[in-house]
Amino acid sequence: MFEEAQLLGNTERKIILQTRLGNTIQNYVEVDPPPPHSCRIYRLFANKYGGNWRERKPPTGTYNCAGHVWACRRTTILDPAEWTKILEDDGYRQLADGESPWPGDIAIYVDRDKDDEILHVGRVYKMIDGLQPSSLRIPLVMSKWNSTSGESVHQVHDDPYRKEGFNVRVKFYTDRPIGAANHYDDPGSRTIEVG
Amino acid sequence: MTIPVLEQLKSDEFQAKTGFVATAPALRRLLLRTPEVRALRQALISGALTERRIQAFVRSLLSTLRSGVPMQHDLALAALAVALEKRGTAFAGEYLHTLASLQAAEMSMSIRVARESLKSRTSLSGTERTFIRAGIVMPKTFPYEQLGERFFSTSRTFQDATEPTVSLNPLPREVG
Repeated sequence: MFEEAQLLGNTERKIILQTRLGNTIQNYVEVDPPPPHSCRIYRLFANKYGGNWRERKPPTGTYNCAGHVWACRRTTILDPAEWTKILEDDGYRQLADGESPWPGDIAIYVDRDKDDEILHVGRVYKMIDGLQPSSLRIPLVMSKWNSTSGESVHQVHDDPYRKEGFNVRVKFYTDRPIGAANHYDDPGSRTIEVG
Repeated sequence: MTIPVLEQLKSDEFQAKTGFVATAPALRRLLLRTPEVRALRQALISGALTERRIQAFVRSLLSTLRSGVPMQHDLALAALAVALEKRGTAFAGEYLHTLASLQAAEMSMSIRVARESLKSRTSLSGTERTFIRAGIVMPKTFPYEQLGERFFSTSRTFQDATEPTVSLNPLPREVG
């Protein structure tokens, strides 16, 4: 079995990728552009789950969600253990209770049923008004769902994982120093975008 | 001859509802919950689906493999890995070990799901943790027939398995 695949040999092309502390991050560069069948499947799942998503970019290869957030769209990082390593080595901190996310922060989708294992990561793109003036502002997140999907902008809780039965919690991480949130929170500016 | 429980793994609907998942551990958990994988496992347990049929199906899928192109039915291979992970037969072991040992970008998710399935299989059998194979740290699973009486042995293997017949020999069953 799998003789055809064995004959291919090692086709995972990697780039040198390290954390700030110099630890190597396992990665592979996905084929780009994705083939038509991958694009068709992306369209199907975007139709199924993403009625309110806005597409920033059509299906593309090379990188996945973690590659989008941490590798400047250059490669795919598939192992959630590597994602955790980046969070630790690169000096991210989880936002405290009551601390608002800010454009450029990171939204980490974790599985509550699996010891908060990371499922997906996206970048906070914009904060929009809640339903009422007194409501909390809602983060819009820019996501690339897998290594052959497009990029979408969506409300933070409008993700496919919870629709497929995952017990999802979103944690926000930032590289901003503690206390910086208050400085940036300008009540006069209700809509804030990534510069 | 087409087998519905196998053919549905190639459907657009199945791929659309599982294809968004970014990591292999999460994909494995999602696949375990899908009706398609449950039906596969049930068909294997009941004998309605033989390992020889799976082997032929896998060969047909691999005939579409092209160098430098993500494989169209990578998720079907991943689903089969999950369906076979608790099955104590030589075929299941070979499927998982061989798939997990590949390093093909064209099949990136099925390879990693097979590695996750092997981890789960190893934790089930409680055996030695790892060994080095082809430069990759891989979970090792002993043959089930070496694990004691609770894992029965059978003379039926995937090579000589035929279509389901009435037989005194027990069909391969799931463990754990």
